[in-house]
Amino acid sequence: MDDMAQFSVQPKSAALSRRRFLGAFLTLAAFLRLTRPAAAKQPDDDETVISGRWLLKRSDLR
Amino acid sequence: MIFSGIDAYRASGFAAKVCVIGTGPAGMAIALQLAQAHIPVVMLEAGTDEITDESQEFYQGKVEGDHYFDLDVTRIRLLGGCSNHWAGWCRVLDAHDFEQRDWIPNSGWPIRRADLAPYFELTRAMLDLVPFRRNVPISEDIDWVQLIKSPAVHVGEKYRADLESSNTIAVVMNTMARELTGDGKRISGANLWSQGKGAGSISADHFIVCTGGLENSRLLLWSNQQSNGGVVPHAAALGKYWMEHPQFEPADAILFDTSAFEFDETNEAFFSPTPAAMQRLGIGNFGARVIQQPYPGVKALVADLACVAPDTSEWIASGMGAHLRCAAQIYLGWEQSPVESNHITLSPDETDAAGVPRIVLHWKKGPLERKTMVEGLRLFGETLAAKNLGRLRFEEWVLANENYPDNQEIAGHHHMGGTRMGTDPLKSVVDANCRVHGMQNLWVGGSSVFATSGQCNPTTTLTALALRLGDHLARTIAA
Repeated sequence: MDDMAQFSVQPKSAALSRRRFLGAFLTLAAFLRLTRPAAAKQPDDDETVISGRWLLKRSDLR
Repeated sequence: MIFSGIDAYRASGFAAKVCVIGTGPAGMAIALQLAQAHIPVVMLEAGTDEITDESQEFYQGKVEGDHYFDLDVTRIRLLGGCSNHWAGWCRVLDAHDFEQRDWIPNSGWPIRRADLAPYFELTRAMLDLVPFRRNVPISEDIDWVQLIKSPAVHVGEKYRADLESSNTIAVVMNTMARELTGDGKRISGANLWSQGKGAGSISADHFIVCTGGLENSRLLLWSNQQSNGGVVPHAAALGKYWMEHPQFEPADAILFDTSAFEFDETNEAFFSPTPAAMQRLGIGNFGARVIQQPYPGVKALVADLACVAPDTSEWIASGMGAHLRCAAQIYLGWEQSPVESNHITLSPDETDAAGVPRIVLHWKKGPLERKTMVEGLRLFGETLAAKNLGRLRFEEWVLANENYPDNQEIAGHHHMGGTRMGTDPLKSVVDANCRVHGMQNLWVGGSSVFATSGQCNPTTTLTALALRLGDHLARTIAA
């Protein structure tokens, strides 16, 4: 079964385009936050810390 | 030759030197080795060619302690034994699993991994395995390791034609060794139960117990009780130091970079700690199974989103009629330390149809197991972060130190220990050659002889051990 079929009453191509944009935007934002280089390297950048349930580098949080 | 019952076997006049009790991978490996040396072997199989409720009922028992599987579900009574329902995942225990480690109680084998190496080629041939490969370090703490996905050979099916045409191996179906008889030095015979009734006894020069990681202890405990210690004269450790591999899904992850390792054909990759990391943290061995979901197109984006914006992702995914997971699932299976309190006893009031007391399995995961899971996950997550391979997310129950969930894998159906190998008769049952301490002609095959469990599926190691035992016994008999 086409799992796009029941998503929306909108024309399929428009709904797909909107979802693709939303998904891409949010995912990109999240990944940029996790992977962006620190503006200035801090001594403890590579230390890990639990934030929420994530095991992150301190630099991820700056 | 394959006989449908003990009467047909007796009528054949076959004179066996060795009686192998059980036809699973261990029993089959030993019988094949002995046959190669032209030593006549009789194999006893309690089941038949088909699974029946009546036969499986013999395996019912009780579990006290942590949540575990029903004992008549976690094994199978059939020609080929537990090879009839295994996943086929293969790996030999690591060299460091055989070493004594100060931080793992009762650790250390009397043999090394290298002692099994001469039998790896035969093991591979028997289980249809690709060549083994070395571990690949992805950090100082974590190795990318090999877990072979084999065709899950059913040894009963694979060797059936060979057994039927063999003049050296006689398989007797529907015949259970109810009890061994011995005088504290030698086994004189085995009392049988065949086709629903007592069926006299069978004699041989040597007896090898290969009935599985639960039944081996049961048969020997019952036999020893009936013979006043005449079967296992040094029984302090009998039934004890039983082990499983706890298996849960305690984390997931997003992965940025997978160039340091490869996913296999089912999109899985496996990781284990280095010996130095285990020593530094004081933890046991573990295997992290990372499953990368190969979602196509938009689904991949939404699935990635589930890691960082789960509500939004769920809203989108539900609109798509799909349940999408965060990019990579992490399953952890890990070593359970051998402790005396995890043990098998005989039920005081329940028996099977043959009158043998049922098993009571006493099993709990201890503080070291919890530490291995938590510290092991953190170690793996730190490698992902340090190498910028990705980021790991713990499940809530792990961080909150809650009980293990009951609705996950729980364990591997890997039954180890109970007749463990060692040099001290107070803490082990068999010696380095799998011979029962103090007995001249009683041997044990299978994962019940494991002194420690390592982190990987046991069939490959137990097959190599059984091939080694078969070879050793053939040389012993020849001498």
